[in-house]
Amino acid sequence: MAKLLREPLEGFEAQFATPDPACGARVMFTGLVREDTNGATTCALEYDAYEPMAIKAMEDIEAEALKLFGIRRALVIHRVGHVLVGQIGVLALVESGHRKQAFAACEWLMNEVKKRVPIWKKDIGPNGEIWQHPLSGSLNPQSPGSP
Amino acid sequence: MTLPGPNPIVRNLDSTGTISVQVPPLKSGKGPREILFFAIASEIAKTRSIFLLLDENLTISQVRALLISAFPPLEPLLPCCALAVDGVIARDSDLLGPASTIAVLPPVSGG
Repeated sequence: MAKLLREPLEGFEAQFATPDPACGARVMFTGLVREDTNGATTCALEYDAYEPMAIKAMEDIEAEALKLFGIRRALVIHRVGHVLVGQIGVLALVESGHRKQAFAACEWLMNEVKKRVPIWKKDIGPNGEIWQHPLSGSLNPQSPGSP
Repeated sequence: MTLPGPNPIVRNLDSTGTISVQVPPLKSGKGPREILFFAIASEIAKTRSIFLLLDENLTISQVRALLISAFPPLEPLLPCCALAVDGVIARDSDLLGPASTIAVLPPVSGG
């Protein structure tokens, strides 16, 4: 079950790790707030989200991953609010019988989250704040590259 | 604050309080819809949420035009934004229908 959380995600990795004897592979992606963005210094990110739609979109992505890759578990947890450099912004977990599907599914999960989930981040630096809005990957069905 | 054009603002729900209350008599098929703004759209509109009286026979394209008339600074951004109607991304040719919530969604940047 996908989650959006206002509290730090540090320590959540251990909670994910519920053993499944059918799984020989567990891949976890931990997205951290990076200090450098194209040469500009970041102090923190401020995540905004349309929460009901974001949770539905993440749950849809998890369900699609199970079907597409034949994996046994997919989970995405995303932060909202203020996240400092070095802190976790997003976690994605995949468990499957074998590592090949787990690696592929985890990368796919994160790509889809970045394209489809109504979450936005504002870069907060020493010289000001700026919303990051990519030109592609919009949710707009009229725009090129939309899902 | 009175916004331009024939489109009446009902009220601002931001934490700063009410901007204006101006509710004309409701006609059939015309009712208040909550408009939600996110990220940079919220900063430009200077609000998170307002109510607009919108006819259910409007297309999403017409809703976009009304939003620009109510919030002219949104004009450069709005073509890049998706509009979600009751949580579902709408196409410009779709009719608004009886929806209660319209969300203005800039290009996403999660992760």
